[in-house]
Amino acid sequence: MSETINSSILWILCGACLAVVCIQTAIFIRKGWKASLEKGVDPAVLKKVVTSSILTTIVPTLPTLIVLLSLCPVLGQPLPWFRLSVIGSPGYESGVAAFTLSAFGDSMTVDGFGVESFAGVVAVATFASCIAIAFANVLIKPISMGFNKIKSSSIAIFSLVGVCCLTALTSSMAAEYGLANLTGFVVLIASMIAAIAVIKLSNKLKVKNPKMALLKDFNLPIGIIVGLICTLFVA
Amino acid sequence: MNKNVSDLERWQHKYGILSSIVVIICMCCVPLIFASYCGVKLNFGQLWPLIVYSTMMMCSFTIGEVIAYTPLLGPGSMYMCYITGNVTNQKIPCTLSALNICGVEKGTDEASSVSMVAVGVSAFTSMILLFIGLMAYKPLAPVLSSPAFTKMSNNVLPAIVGGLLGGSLIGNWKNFILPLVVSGVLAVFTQMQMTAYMLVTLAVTIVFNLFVYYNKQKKAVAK
Repeated sequence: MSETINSSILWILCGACLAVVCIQTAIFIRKGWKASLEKGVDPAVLKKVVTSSILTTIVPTLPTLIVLLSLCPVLGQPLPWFRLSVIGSPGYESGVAAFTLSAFGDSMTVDGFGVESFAGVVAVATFASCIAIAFANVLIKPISMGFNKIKSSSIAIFSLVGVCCLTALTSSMAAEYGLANLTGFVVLIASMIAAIAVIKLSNKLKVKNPKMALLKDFNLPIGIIVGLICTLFVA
Repeated sequence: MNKNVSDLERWQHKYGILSSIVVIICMCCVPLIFASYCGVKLNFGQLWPLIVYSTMMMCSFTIGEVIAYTPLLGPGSMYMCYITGNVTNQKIPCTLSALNICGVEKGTDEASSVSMVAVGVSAFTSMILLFIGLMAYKPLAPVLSSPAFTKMSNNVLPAIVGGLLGGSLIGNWKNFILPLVVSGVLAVFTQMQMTAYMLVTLAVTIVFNLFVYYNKQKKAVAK
């Protein structure tokens, strides 16, 4: 079974799909970069955006990496790599694989299933994702147009709705992950204080050394790292 | 199309939908070609309930997410997000951080284009890290399964949200009082899922802010 789940055909198919996603993403970045420059955004600031995005992504990718490595012995390397690099999430992938295999009367253990069940896992996870992508695509345009209508009728109300979206989203995430348990709460508060401290400190230090203003742009990655270090003492 | 739509947004919808269709076709080929290569016939009679259930799991959050995220991320980033995933834990933090760095107003074309760069770079970083992890599978496995690492990875989301909240609170803290209270109460005292109470919080916050806004307008007119 190990040969089938790690077969070269699966590597080629998954790799080709990821290559298409990479091309799509590269075209979006290129367009975003050009449009930002046309709108007057400084190239140096855009480079800071790139650095900040890389730093902010590294830590949240680690749990996905752990799930990827834990799924590899059971489901092989190409499928979890493909699924977790595209729309899939760590919790979803393990769940879908487990219940599909159990529907086939198999178990999610090393060599605990046959080729037909494995093809079923590939099909269920992939087709469900395709429908989810199509569903999101159907929604994005009308909702975006709806916001444009609000924007064209009143810029003030559109800005207000934008602020409400930001505050509601951040607050709901804070309630979900910060109030789940004591560790989560302490980590949330620690990273929040760290982020505020970095911004305040950067504002103070930039008077003496303008280069210290750069520190402010990395308040989020620094906040995340401080929060995670706290975990080691609290959990 | 609506004349209020900018050229950039027109391109985003056109390219976003077209490229998503191409990705969907490519993705659908994976199980079909793999099954035929292995000589297995996919039994759709057996598979369809599983596909419907998995789709429901994914789509139940989509409506709320698209409503709440579109004004912040812009349509181009939204199309990318629904292909590459990890919206809440990777793309939203990157975008908000990028918008703060550039100092652009949310919901504008500038914000939308900067957001495309941030989301795209985040997607690439994640894909590259997963590939490196896969290549370094054997040496990395003991490190990633250590107790310290497990503790940290279980608390990544509160750390991200704390950092986001810290950055957003400065100069804006009054706007957070009502949504924090509403979402906190709903999270603690109800069985609602996050996407559901995020929509309730959003609705309450919008209604309250519109009420304050129109009252201010009335007072200004009266003066």
